[in-house]
Amino acid sequence: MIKRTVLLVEDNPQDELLILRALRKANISAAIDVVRDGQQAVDYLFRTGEYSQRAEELPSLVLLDINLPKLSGFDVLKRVRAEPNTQLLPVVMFTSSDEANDRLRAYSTGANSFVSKPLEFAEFIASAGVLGAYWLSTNIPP
Amino acid sequence: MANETPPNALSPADSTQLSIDLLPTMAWTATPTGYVDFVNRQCCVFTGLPRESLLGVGMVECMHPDDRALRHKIRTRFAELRPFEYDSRMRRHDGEYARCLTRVAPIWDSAGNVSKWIGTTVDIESIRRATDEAKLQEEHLQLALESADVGIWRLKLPDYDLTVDERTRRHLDLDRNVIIGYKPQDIIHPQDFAKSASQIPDANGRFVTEHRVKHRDGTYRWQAIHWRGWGEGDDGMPSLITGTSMDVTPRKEAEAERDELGRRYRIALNAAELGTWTSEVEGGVMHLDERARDHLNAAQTDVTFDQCLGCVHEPDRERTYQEVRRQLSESGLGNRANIEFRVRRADGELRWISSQLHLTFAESDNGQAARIIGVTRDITESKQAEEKVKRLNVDLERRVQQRTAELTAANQELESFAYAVSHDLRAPLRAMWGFCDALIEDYGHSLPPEAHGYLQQVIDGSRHLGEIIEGLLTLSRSTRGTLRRDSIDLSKIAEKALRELALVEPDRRVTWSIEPGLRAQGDSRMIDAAMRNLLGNAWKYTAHRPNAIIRVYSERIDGGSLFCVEDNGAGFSMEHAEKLFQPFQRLHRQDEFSGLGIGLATVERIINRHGGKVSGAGVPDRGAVFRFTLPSPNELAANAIEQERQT
Repeated sequence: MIKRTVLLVEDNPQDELLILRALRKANISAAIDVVRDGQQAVDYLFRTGEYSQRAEELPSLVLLDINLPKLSGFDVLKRVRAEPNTQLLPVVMFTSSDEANDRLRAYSTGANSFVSKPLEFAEFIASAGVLGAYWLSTNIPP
Repeated sequence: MANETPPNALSPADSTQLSIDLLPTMAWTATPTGYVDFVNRQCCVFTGLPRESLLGVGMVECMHPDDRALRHKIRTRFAELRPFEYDSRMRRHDGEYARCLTRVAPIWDSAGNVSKWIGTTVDIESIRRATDEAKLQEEHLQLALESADVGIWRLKLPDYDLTVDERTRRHLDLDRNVIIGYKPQDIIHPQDFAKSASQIPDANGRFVTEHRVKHRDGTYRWQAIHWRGWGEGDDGMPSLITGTSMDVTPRKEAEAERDELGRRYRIALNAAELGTWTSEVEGGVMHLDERARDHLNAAQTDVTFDQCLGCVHEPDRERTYQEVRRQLSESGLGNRANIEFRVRRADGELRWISSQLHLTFAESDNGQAARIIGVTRDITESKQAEEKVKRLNVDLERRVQQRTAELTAANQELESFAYAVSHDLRAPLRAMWGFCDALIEDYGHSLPPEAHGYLQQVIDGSRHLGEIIEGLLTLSRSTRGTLRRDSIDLSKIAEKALRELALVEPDRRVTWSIEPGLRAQGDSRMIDAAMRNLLGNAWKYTAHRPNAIIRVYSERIDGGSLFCVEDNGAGFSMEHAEKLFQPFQRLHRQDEFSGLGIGLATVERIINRHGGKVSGAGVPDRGAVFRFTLPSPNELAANAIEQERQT
């Protein structure tokens, strides 16, 4: 079995802890790399800047927050979809807002899924688990 | 004859000869034997010969050669001593021959002998010609009278015996041609009589009157009557008056109409303070009326086109000239725009004048205007008003733009604030809630029940704060976006909303009545939300009523409808009515009726966004009614335009 990695892009450390816990609870065994702003995410994915030495392998799934310092989640997603290399990378976006606009924008920019971060975390754990399992098991990364 | 001594033919003592000499026809005398011893002047005039040469046989010599045979015959007749006559052609002074009738009669002396012959020779040719001429003239006259429909009449004074021809009879509508004791005052219109009667004849005894004559059917016809007096009676009046009559009613009516139109035209011009002018295109002289002269500040009423253009304020002159030229070169009579220009008055004031050109075309239309009729108007006041309105509009526009920009900025700020709130307040909340969950899940087994209780309080608090945040967001979203203009059936919306509420709480016994056909215009999504909020409240606050009643109806008010949602629920005290529409303000405790207090705030925002108004009235424990207006489609359109500008 190929080693799977999930990239989590999240600037809020509390959310990060809760998401990591949720993924753990959902029994997702993949390794989880965490970056804390949009620029780091881009550097990570395209192996530039501080991630220029990173191994060539792409993550199997990107969990991408929308509100991020430096580059927003939408900017990151645009870059991902523009590059042939990362064009088909599964990206799940999440945000704490419940704005229909954000959802629409996420899908039109090319997100594979959109999850709003609910206040009640149990829900999120459930959806994160389902999503993680789905994208990690059914999608063959490029 | 030949052996007699010629008498002294020119003896002035001979009175017979003198009177003969004055006769207008040729006359002569002869001795008993027929020797002509005197011819009158007319004989000389006719023949063109001197008197001397006509004596003796001179007159006979003037006969046409073919009539010479008569001479013998004439001599024989003299011998018969009786009057006789003969026809002969006589040579006239111009060499032509005229047929003449000569009559000869003897004059007897007391002894019974013929003392003289007297003869007259009449040029029957010229008489006939004169007769023919007279006949012809008479015919001409008749024709003229007939074609002009002129009647003739005569009136004999002092008895006023009137004789009229057919036409005058018809003109005066008389029942016969001769009237003894005619009374003109009976048929002349009373208003015209005095004037007609006071006419003074000219040196030839003539005058003309125009007056209305009453016809037997009661109508009046205008007659032009020519009078001519003849002779003079004892009272200084003529003894006979002849004259003509002519029906001039059509002319008089046309004149009256023309006068009336002229009067109206002058009144209209005065009322509108319009000046007029005319000009032949050829020649270029403009004839201004007094007001047009005043408008143009021209020196006199007849000016050349160049002089007129000189009156125009210099900066406007070229443009005015070009505009006039353009209008003149356009063929056709279409509507022509006013030409507007300024004129400097004598006191230095600049006035705005507008002039319009109306072109008229000659019969031989070659596309060129023949004549121009112009109308001038002082438009200074309206120009000034227009300028003022323009300035006001510009100012208003500027202020609207400024306000709009401010509003847009404020709106955007609010939007981003709401967005930030939704994100940034939620994140720590999520952490509180999430870690409480994690604590209970991961370490709950080692916590005492009291600690579980405290953690549950944190979770409940977080949940409530989350609901408040959600409410704030709902409120800010409720009126976002462009206002649509849909046709809305409020009755249908109410029915649907109540059915849904009944589905959620099937145990509630709620009776509702909805007035059918409540229609309005507005954004259907927003109005739907507003109606659901109002009906949701009605539903909620009637929860304790065993027989809940909810009514939806309309009331007519000035300029539209008032839509009402009424319930017989808990109601509220009007003391707190000002809190009704404020967000998060509640008139009931949570343990009475749960809720966030944003429902009515949402309703008010939506109705206000439509330009309508909402109000609530309540009585504690009796119920409440909420009324709202929605603007008419026109007002809504205006609102939409305003909001379009803002976005």
